[in-house]
Amino acid sequence: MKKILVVDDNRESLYMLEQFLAGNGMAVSTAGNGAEALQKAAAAPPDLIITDILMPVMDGYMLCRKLKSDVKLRHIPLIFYSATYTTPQDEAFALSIGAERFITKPQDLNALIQIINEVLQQKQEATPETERPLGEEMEFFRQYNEILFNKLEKKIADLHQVNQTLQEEIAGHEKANRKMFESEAKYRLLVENSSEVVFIAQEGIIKFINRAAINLLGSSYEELTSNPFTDFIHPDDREMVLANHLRRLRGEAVPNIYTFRIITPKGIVRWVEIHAAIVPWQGKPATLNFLTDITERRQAHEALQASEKKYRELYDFLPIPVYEMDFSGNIISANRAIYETFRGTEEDLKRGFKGWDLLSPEEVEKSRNNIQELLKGKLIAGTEYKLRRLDGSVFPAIVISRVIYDNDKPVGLRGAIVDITERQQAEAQREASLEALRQSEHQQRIITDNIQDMVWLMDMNLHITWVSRSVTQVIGFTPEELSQVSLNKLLLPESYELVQQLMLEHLTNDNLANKDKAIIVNNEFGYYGKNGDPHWGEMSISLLRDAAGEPSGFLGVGRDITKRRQMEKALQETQKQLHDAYRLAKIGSWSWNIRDKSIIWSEELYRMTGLNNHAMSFSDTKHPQIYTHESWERLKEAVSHSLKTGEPLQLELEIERPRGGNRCLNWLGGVIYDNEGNITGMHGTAQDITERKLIESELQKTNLELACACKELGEKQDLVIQQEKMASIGMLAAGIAHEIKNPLAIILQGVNFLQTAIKDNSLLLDVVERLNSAVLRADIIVKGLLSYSRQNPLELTKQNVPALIDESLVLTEHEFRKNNLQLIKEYAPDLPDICVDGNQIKQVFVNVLLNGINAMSAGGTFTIMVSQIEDDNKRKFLEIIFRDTGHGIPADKINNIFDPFFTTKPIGNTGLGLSISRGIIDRHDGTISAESEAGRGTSIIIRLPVKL
Amino acid sequence: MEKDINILVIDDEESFTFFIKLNLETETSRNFKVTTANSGKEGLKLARTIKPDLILLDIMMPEMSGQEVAEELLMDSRTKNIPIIFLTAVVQKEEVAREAGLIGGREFIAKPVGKEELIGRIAATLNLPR
Repeated sequence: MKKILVVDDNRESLYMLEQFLAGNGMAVSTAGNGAEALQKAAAAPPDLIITDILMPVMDGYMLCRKLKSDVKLRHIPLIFYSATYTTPQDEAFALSIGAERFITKPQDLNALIQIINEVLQQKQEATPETERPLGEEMEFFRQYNEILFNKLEKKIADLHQVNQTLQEEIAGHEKANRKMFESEAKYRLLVENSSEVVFIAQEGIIKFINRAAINLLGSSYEELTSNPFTDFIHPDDREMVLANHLRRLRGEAVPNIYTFRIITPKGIVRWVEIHAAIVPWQGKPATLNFLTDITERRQAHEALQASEKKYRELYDFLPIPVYEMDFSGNIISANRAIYETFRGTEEDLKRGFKGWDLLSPEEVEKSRNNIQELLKGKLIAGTEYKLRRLDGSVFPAIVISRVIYDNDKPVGLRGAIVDITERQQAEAQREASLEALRQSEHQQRIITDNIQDMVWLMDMNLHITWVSRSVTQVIGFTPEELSQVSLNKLLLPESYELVQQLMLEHLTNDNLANKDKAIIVNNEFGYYGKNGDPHWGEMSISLLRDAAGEPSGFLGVGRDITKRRQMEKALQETQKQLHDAYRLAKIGSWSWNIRDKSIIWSEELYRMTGLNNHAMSFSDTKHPQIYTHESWERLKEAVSHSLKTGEPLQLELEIERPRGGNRCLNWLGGVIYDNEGNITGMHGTAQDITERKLIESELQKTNLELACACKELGEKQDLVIQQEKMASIGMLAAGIAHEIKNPLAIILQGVNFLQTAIKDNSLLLDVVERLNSAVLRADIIVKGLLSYSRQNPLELTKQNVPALIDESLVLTEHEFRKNNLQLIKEYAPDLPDICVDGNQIKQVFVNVLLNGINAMSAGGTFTIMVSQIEDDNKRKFLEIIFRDTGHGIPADKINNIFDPFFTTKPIGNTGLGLSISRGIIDRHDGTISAESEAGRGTSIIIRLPVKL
Repeated sequence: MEKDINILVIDDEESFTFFIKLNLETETSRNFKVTTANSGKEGLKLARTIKPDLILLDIMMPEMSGQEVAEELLMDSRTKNIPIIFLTAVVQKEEVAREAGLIGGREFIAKPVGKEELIGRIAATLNLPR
């Protein structure tokens, strides 16, 4: 017996392999890791070692290495038998360190035995064994580590994977459990609360039954589950039910649904229908049963059957021929009187026989027309035909027909036939004809009693002489009672009025006299029931004439439509509520029909828009006038988009109101489709959002004002900064003026001396002259700076601005003439005098005039305008505009012209004039600004406040 | 030969007094005789000793300002009648009226001043023939 040592850290694997090998006649010992295996091998060398790779303490590779390095043990063959994640490298490595085989799990175990035997066989043959050269120590460890590392990594990854899968599985189980629990709970709840009886029965005993059973069976849960269920079954049915139950439990085919009677302990019998199915219950088959109480259903059914039978009998033995026929002329049913009248049998009439065949051939057309009229809903009291018996004889008769409806679809005709042979024979006798009429009335009665229509007769004195049974059923009055009630008590006041009106309209002498004239009125009438409740009926009233054609009374046929009315009223109520809701929410509704181009607005919409609503609808040609032009354009676009795409529309539109105060409405709408999916129009709502818009616009205005205020603040800040800048320049100027002027004084004196000293040298004189003008220029600049920096207090006196301008013009007269300029003065009349410092203002005017003149070296026109204006805050100003037609100021420079040292003029100008002017105007609380267009001229606009 | 016109120039700017002297004395049409002083004190002393026909007095000077010099001159009987023309690099014509109260309603010339204007003003002050 071969001794095999199996090494594996997995107990299950170890056990399996051990059992298998032992079963194949081998002596198996086991070890949980490499170290243990080495110990066991040293103690009792086996014939073969089978080892796993990854194991704690010492792995398979190390075991192999140690085994093959040990002189005493290296002859023991070793087979690696490893699980997954092995690579070809593993095998190569295993064989390189002396292993005999490398087998990857899973492996067919029989193949494993074969390999083991092979190895053992080779071992025997290979004696004396040759030493297998071992790889270099270093190389071994390098490879060993690498492989081991890879394996561990993979194992970790696998374990991770397994772990995740497990977690998912657990989560899945939990979910499934929960679901199961939930659905179980749900079904339990359903069963418990079901109005139907649900129970489970096993071997004649109820094992479970729900609450509904307690009501039906009048017993407690305990009683129901402790006694055989046959106790609760009607004695007549017990045997059948129990048999069914037991057969079902045995698996035999039994109908799943059947009916039987139950009986409660108090002796009450009810019919039930059972639905049964087989289910396992506590390990054994049971039946799951649903019981439905069908007592009422059954009773109704029985009543119906009885009534049907009665009717059928009545019908059959009626002395009047009555028939039912479909529109193809097939006789569906006929009573005996029919066969007698036509002298044939049922077979004769039903075998390929058409109803038309009973008519005299010339009458067929008339009959078709009559049917057409009937189908149109017309009530025909009776039509006289010549009928043909099966033996060919012809007799006159009145046929009274009504359409039979099946689910509102006309399916055929029901009729009665009155043989009027006798009546015709006694034509001359009025009595006979009345008899016939009565006969016909009688027949009608038979028909009408069996249909739901209300039929009544009234004589010419408006006394009700006869009513069908359905009338009594509906309003509670018996025919006797009705004959006592006068019409004005019976009818609702408005209906009585209507009746009077209709009589005046139709019962004219002409109409009454015309014997061939049929007078039929269709209308709705209201009348009181016996209990005082108002009823409504849709009535068709025809004037009856006697045989002589004289009016003899009225025949009314109709339906009670109280329910419909009530429903209509409820609908109206709902509509009114909706309407009120719309009105309260200021929501109007509208609809637009593409086909007839009409637009319908709700009252609320008219009210909101203040438009005239004489007509609740209007043609869409009027539509554009309702909105502002801009709104209409947007609406058109939105509508065409909706029609194209079917998308809803939403937009705010402004309604033009005839008396101003336009309203803003928010419109929502969608398209309307017909049954074929074509767009037939649009409908929707509109809400008045004028107030909201107003608030929005107020808010916007406030925001705008705020923005303006911010901007103004910014401008003021700029101004302050500018003024600061100016002030600091001024201070600087004052400080340095003295220091500059003194050297200038020295230079000027020196230059003056030189001028006298070098009289005879023209070149030197020229040089000195240039020095002289440079000094003077420097002086002018310093003077300008000083002037700018100085803040002379204003000496305010009342001044006339035009006079100040004129004085300034005198000072610049010379320049005007030199440039050959034209002057236009436009002074508004009655200008008030204003408080200003006359000299300083003149300085400004002169400065502005000189600038303008300088800009017009090639001639031009100077316009000076003075007028009084008011700003937004109602403050009054004098506005003085100096407009030249000079070269203008480029747009990019216009903002700089009031800055000190800014100049567009050639060298020699200080560039301080306008900034000084601005300083003066500022101190007068005025403004100075410029507008200019390069090449066209400049306007300087000065505004001075009017302070009286 | 006409009588010399003695002019005392008081200005802390030595170069300025130098050129004034040069220009006035080289003016052939007039017999200006110019004495210069470069401080208020020195000027006051010279004014008292030489009793000039006219004093050109700078206002802004260190230690003793032109204004103080003028006040001293006014208080001294020997000098109180000597006409004074103020020279200033700070104030300008428009302000004369305002400042006159402080400086006794005297003449005023703003620096820089040209030779011709200077001589014209001196001649006008002294009522010299043109």
